[in-house]
Amino acid sequence: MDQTASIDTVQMGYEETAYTSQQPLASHTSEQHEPYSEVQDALALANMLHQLRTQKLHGAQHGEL
Amino acid sequence: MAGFLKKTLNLLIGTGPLDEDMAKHLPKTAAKTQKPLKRPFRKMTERELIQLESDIGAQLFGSVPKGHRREFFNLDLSTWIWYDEWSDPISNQRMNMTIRYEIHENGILKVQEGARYNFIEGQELENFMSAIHLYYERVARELYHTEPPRHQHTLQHRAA
Repeated sequence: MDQTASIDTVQMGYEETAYTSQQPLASHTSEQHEPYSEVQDALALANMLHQLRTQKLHGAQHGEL
Repeated sequence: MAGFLKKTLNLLIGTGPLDEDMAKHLPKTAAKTQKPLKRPFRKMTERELIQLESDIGAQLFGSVPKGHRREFFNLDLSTWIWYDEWSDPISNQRMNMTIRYEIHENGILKVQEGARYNFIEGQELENFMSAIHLYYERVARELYHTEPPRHQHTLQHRAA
C-alpha cells in the first residue's frame, strides 16, 4: 500500500498562525486550553454535517435535487 | 453493534445485503455499482450522500495510486471511517485496511483491525482534526453548495 499517504503522515496544508509581538500576550496566558476541545470540535463538525445531510434529504423530498 | 458493522461494510464494500429502507430507494443498477445515478428529481438516500462525501474525503490526502481505492467519510455523529484497498504486488491479492475513529468524551479513539485501539494524540491528532475540518469545508461547498460558517479550529485557537 501507499505508505506515504496515511492519516498519520499526511500534511494537510494548514499553517499555524505565527506568534508576533503585535499579539496581546494576555491571550496566551489567561486562556486555558480545554483538555478535550478536539472532541467538542469534532462533535460540532459532525453535527453540522448531519444538518447538511438532513437538509439535502429533506429538500430532495420536495424535488429540489 | 451488528447494525453498525453492517452499515459500515455496506458503505465501504457495497456487497452486503442492503437495508430494507435503503434498498427501496435504490434502483437495482445503483445497488450494484454503489454509485448514485445522476437522475434529476430523484430522492437521494443518506447512503448516496455519504458516498459522494467520501469521494471528496478520499481526495484530501493526495492522489490515490492506480489500483488503490480509498474512502474517508463521516459515518455518524461520533464515527469517522478511513478505508484503503490495494493489490499486494507479490501475491496480487486484494488487501484492505479499515480504521475507525470514534469520538469519545475523553478523546478520539482509533480502532484498527486485530483489536488494536488507542487514543490519538500529537501530530496524528492534529492531522485528524485538520482532515475533518477540510472535509467539512469541502463537502459543504462542493456537495451541499453552502458556504461553511467560520468555525474556530482547535489548532488555530491554540496558535492564536
